Amino acid sequence: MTILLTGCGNSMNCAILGNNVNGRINFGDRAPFGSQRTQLKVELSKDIFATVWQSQVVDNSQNLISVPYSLCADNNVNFTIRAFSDQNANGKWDAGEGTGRDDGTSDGNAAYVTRNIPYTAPADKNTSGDWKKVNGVDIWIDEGATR
Amino acid sequence: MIALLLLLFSAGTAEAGNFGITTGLDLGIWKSTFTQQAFGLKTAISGQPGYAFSPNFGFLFCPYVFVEYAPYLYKSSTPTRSAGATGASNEVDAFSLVAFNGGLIVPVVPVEVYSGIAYGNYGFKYGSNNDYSGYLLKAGITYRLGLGASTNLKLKFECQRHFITQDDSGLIPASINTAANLYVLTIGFNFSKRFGRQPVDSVAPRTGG
Repeated sequence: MTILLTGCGNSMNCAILGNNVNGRINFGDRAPFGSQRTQLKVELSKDIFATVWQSQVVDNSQNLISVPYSLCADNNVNFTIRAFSDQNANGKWDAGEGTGRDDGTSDGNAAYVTRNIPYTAPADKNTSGDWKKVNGVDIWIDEGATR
Repeated sequence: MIALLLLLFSAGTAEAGNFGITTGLDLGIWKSTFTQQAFGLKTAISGQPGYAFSPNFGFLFCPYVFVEYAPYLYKSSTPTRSAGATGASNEVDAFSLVAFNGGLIVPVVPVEVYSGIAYGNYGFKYGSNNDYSGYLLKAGITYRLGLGASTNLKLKFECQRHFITQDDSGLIPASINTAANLYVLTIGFNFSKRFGRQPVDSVAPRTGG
């Protein structure tokens, strides 16, 4: 297993070894039902959402209550994660759309959990080294006037 | 299950003629309903009917008892849809390599009943692609039509309750109740052979599940 381009972000590592952030988007008091298909958007930030560094759309056309997602985060940097229900599929959060944070609570309204996945590239480039994955990064979506 | 197998094996070998081996192959159709329940909400999703494939290998005992290893592969009959496609259909598949049945060959009538346990995988391939797994219990009934001394044609109906405990993100929190019900109808051939001397008054049919 060859580790490549670690200095340019983790996209190659994640492609080979699998995304290193795994969790679920859960619906709390916000039912995912409706006539229109619901897209969920997960966002990852390195500066507590002054800017969004990476995002991913999860299509919830089955209207599941709990939908798994995965992301690829850089190692050795602090990051935070949030999600929202993009009901009109315009790619951005609008007032009235359910939203939540990775905050360790079941309503998604508390302070963000700051995460950091350590990794040291192995001396032997033909090994994967100690590649870590963080599982269970669950986000609860609820009614929110603000994010 | 292994302990039960060994126990029945030893009992069967002590009674020469009651022990045998059986193998078969079942093909058919299946359908499933997936449910999630949490936070006062419930979602139920019906999967499209699909193809069922299940070989089996087992032992006959006593003379009306059988145990068998019965892995299965259930595939959707619809082609893969791209994520984001609209529509009500859900493409799902399921498989298990750890699946065992134990059952009884009902005397007089050509019927067998059985139940089993397995650890299996159940996955969506439409919209949100999710990969679930967990334990399942199953029960079924088989109608057999003898085609000779050691060959049977079997019509089988099986129900499965899949208790899903794991998804792509590891163990599912206890607050999210996730399960699937599977219904499988198959037809297949089964071959068996009993060893040793048959008891004179034995009316044991051949067969296994």
